[in-house]
Amino acid sequence: MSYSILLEESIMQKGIYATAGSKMLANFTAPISAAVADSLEAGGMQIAGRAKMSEFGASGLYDDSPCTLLTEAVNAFCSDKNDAILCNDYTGTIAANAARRGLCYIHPTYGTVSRYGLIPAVCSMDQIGVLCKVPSVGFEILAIIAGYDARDGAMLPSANDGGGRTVGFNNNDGGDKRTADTRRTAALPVISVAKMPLYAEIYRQITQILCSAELSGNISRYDGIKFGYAAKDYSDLRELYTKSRTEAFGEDLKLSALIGAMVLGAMCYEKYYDKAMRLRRVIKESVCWDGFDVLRYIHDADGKDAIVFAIFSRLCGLPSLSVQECTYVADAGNEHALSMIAVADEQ
Amino acid sequence: MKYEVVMGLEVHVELSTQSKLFCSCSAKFGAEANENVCPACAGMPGMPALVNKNAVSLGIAAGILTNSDISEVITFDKKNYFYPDLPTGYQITQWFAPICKNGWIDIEAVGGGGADDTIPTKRITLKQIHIEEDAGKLVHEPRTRSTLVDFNRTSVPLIEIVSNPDFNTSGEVVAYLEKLRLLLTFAGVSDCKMQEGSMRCDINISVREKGCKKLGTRTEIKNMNSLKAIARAIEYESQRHIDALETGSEELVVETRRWDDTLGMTFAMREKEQAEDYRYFPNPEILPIRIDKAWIEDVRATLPEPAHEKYERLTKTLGLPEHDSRLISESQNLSRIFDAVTKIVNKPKDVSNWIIGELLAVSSGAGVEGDEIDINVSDFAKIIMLVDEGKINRAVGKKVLAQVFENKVNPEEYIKDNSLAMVSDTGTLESAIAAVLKENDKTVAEYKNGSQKVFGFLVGQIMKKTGGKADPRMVNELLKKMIET
Ligand SMILES: [Zn+2]
Repeated sequence: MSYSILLEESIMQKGIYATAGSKMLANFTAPISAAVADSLEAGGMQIAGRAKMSEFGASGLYDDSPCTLLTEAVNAFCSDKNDAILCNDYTGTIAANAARRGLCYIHPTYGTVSRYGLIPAVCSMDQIGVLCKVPSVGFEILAIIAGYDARDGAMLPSANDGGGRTVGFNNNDGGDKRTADTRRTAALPVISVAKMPLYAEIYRQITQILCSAELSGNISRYDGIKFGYAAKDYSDLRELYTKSRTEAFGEDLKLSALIGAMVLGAMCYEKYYDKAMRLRRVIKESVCWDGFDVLRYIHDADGKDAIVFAIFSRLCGLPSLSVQECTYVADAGNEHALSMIAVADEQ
Repeated sequence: MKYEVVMGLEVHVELSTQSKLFCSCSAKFGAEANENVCPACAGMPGMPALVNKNAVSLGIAAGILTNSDISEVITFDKKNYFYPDLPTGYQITQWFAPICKNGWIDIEAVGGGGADDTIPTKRITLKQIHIEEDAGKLVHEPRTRSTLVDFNRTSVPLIEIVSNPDFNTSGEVVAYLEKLRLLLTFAGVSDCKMQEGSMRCDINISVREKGCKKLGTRTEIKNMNSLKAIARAIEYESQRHIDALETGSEELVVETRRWDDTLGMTFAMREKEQAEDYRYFPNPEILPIRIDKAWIEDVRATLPEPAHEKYERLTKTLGLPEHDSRLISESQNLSRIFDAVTKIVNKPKDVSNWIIGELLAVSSGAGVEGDEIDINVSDFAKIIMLVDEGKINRAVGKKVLAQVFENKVNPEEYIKDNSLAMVSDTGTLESAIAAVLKENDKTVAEYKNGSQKVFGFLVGQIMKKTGGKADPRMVNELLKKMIET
């Protein structure tokens, strides 16, 4: 079936503006088309336009500011104009808000959907997912956009390859082509119910530290010189940098640049960035998939805790599905289990 | 001397890859400004970095050549700083897990003066070698008082070879750089052209009293790209340190300095250019790369015989003169020609003479350097054999070589078509000699009166008469016999 799909403003389509929700890129026209845009077209889907997003998708990282993309989604879906929005929800904010608003968000395994043509925010968590009304539709779309792409150097190889990712080399060598596939079993997945983790607040802090650090690096290319916004009046280079960035970046981005520079600085690296990385590893290694396929966390009535397992899945690079009542998380590459549960729930 | 100079080097060498380190743009030097640029190396968002595998292979080669430990797993990191020549605002480098560690290179210790003929060597130890991307180039336009950026060099792969503070004299530094250049150009790791910036170095320098364990205050002279300037800069800077220590004329501070070649002095760089906090962190866009034994062995198999080993072989085993051996072993192309021709002719000394005496003369006449000579080695070998077998004389051989070099002719056909085969038929030579003697009766008389030097003139006349094809040995013998009777 052909669905009508919106792309958030950080997913590039050649010749069309790609702002990443920022004044900095208000006049930036994409030089290429994202891999997912090509896949959608090849898969017979209809790209219906752009969906407005918060600046570099960073809202919700430091506070509970409203989620721009969700407002877009509610409008688009309620009028039945569109079926899904593709976006990069590295903070988990979109997933959590989707659950609260009765929508659903599918976050795929890290490295299964090509990031070629996605304006980078936080490379270790950047992952294009599907925001939609009905999970089964989302999984259909995910099947179209997922798959190995040699142009993204950090993709997941096939699941039966003994785990571990393979580095993608550039065309000088034509690195081996692999296709990511998901484990398929006929049996219904076994679900284990998860409790609120003891250190949920730490998840959030780790995300803040890592996201700020990587964002600060990824947005340092926007300097007012080559492309994007440039301040009008300046007397020297430093003032051009400072004014352009001051005038074009919003509060969340400024905060990211400042916190990022701090946590990566020689004085704080070990205390913040390195510690966050180590804790992330501990959390990753603490997950054990013995005897069950899917973790289910049931949200509180107000859904304020929906973000916790969304963050957990992003820190660990695991696939997750956020719906109204709960968040499901599965092992890497096991989107199939999530889709089986979702389809069973729908029926 | 009361003082000891202690130096360490950071040498940047551009790798000879076809394409850049993280995209497919050409890495060739000398293109029009911003010709070799794509959205990725121009720093536009949305283009994931893809590692050039060949650059890693050349990094491995550098490790093998410098006797380094090659890391099993390497990673890439981001080094953050704002500068207009850096389009992404960060440089991708190897901060946490460099490709090579603990290497060493032996250099000839200049002025050491060892016993007998042995030249004493000094071992320079290396801390590490890492791979990183180059930055773009700023072009200052004084007329319009503006600065333009050329991104051709952006993301061209480099290795930085970091030595320990093992140098004490400028001679050692120069010898080390020459040795590095020899090793790396020979193996095709880099062309190491200092004037084009594909080899440049930073020198860390400090001075202490002899016998003192603690190092003195260290300054760094950045971006040196000429051996001559390096030697001068070291002399100047070490003297500045010594003066400061002796007279207290100025207080030495840890700082980065720039060499002004015209003034012959170093100057402290502006505060802003001094050590920054680069906020290094692992680049999550590039996954760790595993270098297994097979990869290292593959690279090793492609490496040619190192120049110094070749030199040893030519001088010691094959007994060639030192000068000739050096000329051949220092050029990978001449080495290749030498090896290939020797394989056919199996007379190394002859082959070396032909290369040094004839081939280089022919090529330089055509304005072609040794490294660029392109000659069919079996044709070259054929010429040497024909001369050796007495089928043509050496002068004709050289003529044919020029034809093979310039017009790629088949030597045997060319000799036949132009009737260049050596004339060694006694009858033909005798009549030619008789004619020459008759035409030059005055000269003959001079000879008979004791003037030996006119003999050569007569030989020349005979050669001329035979179109340069006569066997010179026979001409000598017959002439001697006939002139005396
Ligand atoms: Zn490029």
